[in-house]
Order: sequence, then structure tokens, then C-alpha cells
Amino acid sequence: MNVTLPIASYWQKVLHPELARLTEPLQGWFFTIQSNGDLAVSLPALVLVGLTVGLLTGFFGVGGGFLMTPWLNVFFNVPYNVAVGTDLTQMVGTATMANLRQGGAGYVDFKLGFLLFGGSIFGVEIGARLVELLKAGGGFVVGGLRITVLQTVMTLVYGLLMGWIASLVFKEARAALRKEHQGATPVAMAAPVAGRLRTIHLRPLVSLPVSGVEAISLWVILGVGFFSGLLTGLLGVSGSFIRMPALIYVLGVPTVVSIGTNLFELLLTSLYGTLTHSVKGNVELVLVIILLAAGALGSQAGAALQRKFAHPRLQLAFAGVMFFTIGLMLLKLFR
Amino acid sequence: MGLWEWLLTISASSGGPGQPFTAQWQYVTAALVAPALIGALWAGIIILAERIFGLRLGGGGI
Repeated sequence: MNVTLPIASYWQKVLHPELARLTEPLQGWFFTIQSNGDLAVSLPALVLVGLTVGLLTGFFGVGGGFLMTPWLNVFFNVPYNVAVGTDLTQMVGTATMANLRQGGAGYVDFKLGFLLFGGSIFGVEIGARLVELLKAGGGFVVGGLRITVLQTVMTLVYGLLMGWIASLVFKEARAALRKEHQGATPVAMAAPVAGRLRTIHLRPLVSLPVSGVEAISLWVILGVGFFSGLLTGLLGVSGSFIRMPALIYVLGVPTVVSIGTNLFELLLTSLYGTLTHSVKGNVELVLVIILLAAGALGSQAGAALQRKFAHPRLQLAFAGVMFFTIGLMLLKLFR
Repeated sequence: MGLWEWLLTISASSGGPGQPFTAQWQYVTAALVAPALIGALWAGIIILAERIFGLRLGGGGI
């Protein structure tokens, strides 16, 4: 059973005009490009991908956005601008769910959340405009193969970022395994950058009473918001892997407050990101609904499995999935 | 008109052929509201299931 994606079809024809003049439909792994250039994707495969990404997110706590965007491109041929916009829009749903679920705990520093959002809004907008620039960049021919600038740059940026995260997960899992086998204590990773950022006292300084922070430069908060927002707008990821350590180690926010504040800020950021990406036509509503419904179910299963089967070996496997995805992205670029 | 057809209709560009993509206001509104509604619905189901069955479920992270 196939589902036609109107937005993805539109941009596919813009980015690859040659696909609108096919003599016969083109078959991919889980998609079909019709002779008129319309993109139809397999519904069962889509549900399976939604469930899998949800499961991995529920199990490992991270990774949803990172895997979803490239997987949409690699498995379903969804152009990167649509994959990014769709993943970001889906985040509105997961952030709403997480905020409502964590609501009872009530540990949110709203002042910090709004200040971070002040930086994020610029980051998201610049990220979304960079995607527009890449979209308008057209393409080039290498060895008779037409490659778009959007596909090339996104593969490169995603590949580098995912490679970095995968190597961190790999190192952490290996250290945990070593500890398990030898009883050795893993060496704690120093955070020299965090320490240096903390000493910046560029005025104005703000106090965060809820977080117990007496004085911190406003520019540091805006900078953290801007950088994570840039990743959100450009790549469709939550940016929590930047924001959470920054909140804890750079700003000195207690972990329990940083969790709630991160979720609150993410809801605001994803709402703004959705607004700007939808105005630019980068959101596939059909995909959002299917992936969100399947992903929420998968994350429940992932969380339940994590309580029973959490083991460093599985973290190694997760790193393997990320490295494998990088390989698929490179393969996709040249075929 | 079913939900699916409606989604297809509002997802089309309101600009003419050959013109840059122009989003319809219903499309932008749906992009903002639909995921929030689904997320809230899921949160409601999870909270309800936890209260009825006395479980601790996931869904509090991103």
C-alpha cells in the first residue's frame, strides 16, 4: 500500500526536473517515482521506520531526529528540506507529549527557557534560511550523475555530526564494557570548553533564582540557544545533545531543572521551526501524522525494553546503526 | 472530503505553475496544531493508562 506525498513530490520535481519526464515509473527500496514525478512511499515501511526510530529513542533516550531525517531521505527519497521540516514538525508532538508528561514534576525555569528561546529563534531562522539557500543552489553533474547541492551539503553535515555522536556513544559503551569486565573506573571526560565559557562575564549579567544561578552573562545563554537552534532549523534535530550538557556544565543549572527547562524550550523552538519551515513549504503533513503516531508507540516499547535489557553491548549496536546510516547516506549521494 | 484528501488539498502551493511555493494558511495552521493535538492525545492516553493500571510508562523524553 502506497501513500503519495504532495510536498515531497513538489520539491522532487523542482530539484530534479528530469524525474517529471520519466517514460516509466522508477522503483526504489520503499518508494516509487511515478512517470509524472510524483513520489509514492510504502505505508507499512513508513510505519516500521516510525516504530523503529521511536523504539531507539525510547531505549537510548536520544537519536530520533538524527536517524529520522536521513532515513526519510535514504529509504523514501524524501528531499532533505522536506525531511528536516517534517522531522521538526513531528517534534512539536513529541515535545507536547513530553511537557505534559513531565508537567507534574514542575521543575521548569521559565525565565531561562524564554532567554534561551531568544537565542534559538535566530538560530532556527538562520538554519531554515540556509536550507532555502541550499535548495536554490541547484545541482551539478559528476560522471553523468546529477547531484544537488542540498543533497551533498546535508549528507556531509549529517555524516560529520552523526559520526561524532556515534563515536561518543561507541567510546562510552566501550568504557562501560571495560568497567564491567575489569572493574576499572572509566576516566571522566573533562569539559574544558564548559569551564572557560562559565568564566565569561560579559555584561549584561542575569540571575536565575529558580536554577540557583547568581549571575551569568546573557550572551552565554543566548549563544547556547542560538547554536542549538541553528542545528534545529538546519537539520531538524532537537539540539538537546548540545543544550542539556550546556545547561548543566556551562550554566550550572541543576539536572532536574535542566530536564524540564530543556523540554519547555524545545516546545517553543519546535513551534517556531515548524512555522518557518511550513511557510517555506518544507513540511509533509501526511508523514508527520503517520510517523508521530507510530513513533509514540515505538518509544513506549523502547522505554519498556530499556528497563529490562539495558546493556552497553546494545549501545555499541546503536553506534553501529549510526555508522551504517552514514554509509547509506554516502551510497545514496552517488547513485 | 476525507482527512487524507483534505491534507493533499491544503498541501498544494497556492502560487501558480512555475511560481515559487506559496503555503496556504490552512497548511501552516495544520502543521502547528496537528502534531500538538496528537502529542496531547498520546500524553492523555499514557497518563490514563498509568492511573488505571498503576504502571510507569515512557514518553517523557525527546
